[in-house]
Amino acid sequence: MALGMAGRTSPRVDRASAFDVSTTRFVLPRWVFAVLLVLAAIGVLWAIFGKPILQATIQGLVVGSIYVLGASGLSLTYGIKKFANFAHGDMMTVGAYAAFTINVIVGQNIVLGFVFAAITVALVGVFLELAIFRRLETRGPVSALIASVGVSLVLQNAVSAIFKTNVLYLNVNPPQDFAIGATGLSFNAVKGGVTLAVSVALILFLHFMLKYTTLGKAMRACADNLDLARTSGINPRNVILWTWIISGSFAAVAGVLLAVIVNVYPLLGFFVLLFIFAAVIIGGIGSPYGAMIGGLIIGVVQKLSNVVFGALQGRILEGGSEYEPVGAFVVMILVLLFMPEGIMGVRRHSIGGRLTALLVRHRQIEVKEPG
Amino acid sequence: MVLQLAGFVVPATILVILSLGLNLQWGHTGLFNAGVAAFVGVGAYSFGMLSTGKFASPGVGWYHWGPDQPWHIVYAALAAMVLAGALGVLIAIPTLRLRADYLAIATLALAEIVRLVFKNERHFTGGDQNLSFIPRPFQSLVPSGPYLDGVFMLVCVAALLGAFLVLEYVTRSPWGRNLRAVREDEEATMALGKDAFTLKLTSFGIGCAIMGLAGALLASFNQVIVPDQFAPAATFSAYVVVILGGSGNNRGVILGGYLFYLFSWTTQQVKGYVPSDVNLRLDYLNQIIVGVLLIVFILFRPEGVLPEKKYLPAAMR
Repeated sequence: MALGMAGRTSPRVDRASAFDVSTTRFVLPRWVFAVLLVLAAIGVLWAIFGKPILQATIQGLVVGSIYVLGASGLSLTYGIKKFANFAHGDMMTVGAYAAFTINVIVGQNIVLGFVFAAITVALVGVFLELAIFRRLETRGPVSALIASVGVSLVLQNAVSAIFKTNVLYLNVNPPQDFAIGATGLSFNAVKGGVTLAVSVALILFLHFMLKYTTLGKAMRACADNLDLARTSGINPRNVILWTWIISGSFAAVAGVLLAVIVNVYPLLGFFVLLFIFAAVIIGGIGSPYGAMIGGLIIGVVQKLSNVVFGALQGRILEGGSEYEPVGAFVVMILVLLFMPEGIMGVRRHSIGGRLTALLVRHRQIEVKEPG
Repeated sequence: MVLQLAGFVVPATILVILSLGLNLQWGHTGLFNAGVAAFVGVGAYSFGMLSTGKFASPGVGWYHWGPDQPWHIVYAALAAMVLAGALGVLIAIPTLRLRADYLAIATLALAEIVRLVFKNERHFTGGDQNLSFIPRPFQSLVPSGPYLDGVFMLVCVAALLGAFLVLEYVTRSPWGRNLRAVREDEEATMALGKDAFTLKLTSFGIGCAIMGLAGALLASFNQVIVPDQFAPAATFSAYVVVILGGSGNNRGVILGGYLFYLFSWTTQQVKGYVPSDVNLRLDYLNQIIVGVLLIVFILFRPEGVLPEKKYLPAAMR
């Protein structure tokens, strides 16, 4: 069977092959399709726009790897606490300012800044859980969401009140971009290389932790079914606190990495929050692995749309590359429309099943009057 | 005196009107709309463009799109409501079937896209150059200054009264009861034969139209619109109003709106009397208090100052 056909998981194919036991069908996972789709899009755009697309892809991978860190942390808390944490972006901001304090005000190495930021934001996460979110556990997802909006306002403005709103810079001196061979593309060893290395290392750490340690297994169990986890002897309270610690320190590292690439300002995290949400939704809510794929896709799509919208400037759109975020949001809305469970999420209905459900719901049922 | 009074009453009333729209969506139907700023913005911009008409001053690079002949102010306001409501329906159709937090994220993204369009499409909306010379009602009849402000205050209060009466009527109607049924238990409502999707869609659309009206009033009062006025963060003060006042209770929302505006107005007044260093930080302190209020109310009094009344229809009493 052709490779392209093999990936279809429509129920009709399943039923047809159910009688045909001898053929084992190899089904490609959906994330492979998502990656192939993005690669195809890059290829087509490369043919149209040329070299800027490849440069944009590199930038997109770098920014995307930061989104991956933010999104996998957000996805962990989303999976266990079952609410969208609107303060996650501002936790990144707090991390960036914590690193700024150590790096510039105290004058220490940036590595110490990373460590201090991770510890600070992990503590902020634990405090938020103990003071606010634990009390809202029984009240459904939207109460906690509103509380997290309040937390976001407090964190964002506390940072503004302490450090004022000036744009600040970390004391990091990245070297000049170097050219990759004779391709005309360039890459920055610190802004690009270190960022990619740090996020790959942290993602590997997260993967091995989730897969092999007791804590990681307990976290997955709690995300899957809290009551069942409790009955099998897991103490969800501790697991939730550890989740906040990991998610918070990942957010802090993402914030500092972003601050190295851009700069430090109070809305740093709030502006990337939507990209992180988009990454989480594309990957499938509550799945850290999905968040990893989603983050990279969103980063690449964002930078590609920078080039595409930039080319449209003066013809159709006046804003040009100002519309950089729009591409990422459009991808998110398309995923919400056609695959709301995300790339790695659990597929609840097949598309056919959903259509049937719709038809059944809108069918008028005639009720005969008695007598 | 009239000037100062109008300076307080008009913005407060506009905040109350848009919070009433949000209360229909969030308080009565349980739909979390995180893009209030976008719908207010669409109302403001469509009112501004339609009522001022096409404008071009190439010398200073100032333009915006509009009809050749400016529309009458009432028609422009109606069009603002219709357009804001239509945008709401458009974004709601794909997202209402999904979980509550998906709607929140999708509307937040929409708000950001809308703000980018306002800011960048200079030939269409005026962009960074702002959209100005927006007319006020009764401009030709009343001399400008305190009298016009006073008249505008009356127009605002009348709009609030109208919106309040309409909302009070519809939320007590069978339709309003169905909305609350959807909020409490969507599956059970559907099992009783109600079309939950259509109920949510109409509620969302009407709420957005009311936000559009608030936007039109805002544009007309300030006579100039700035794109950054409609930043996504502006949405959350409406949430504070609804939760503070009592979600699901229109009277509570009115009370909450005026209380909340009194609070932010007071911090603005205090700013005149403190040294400039503190002055700068007072805005942030204001926002911190807003955030703390939101958290404290959600934790300890989620029903707000005036809780929603549980009333039964007359036949069941």
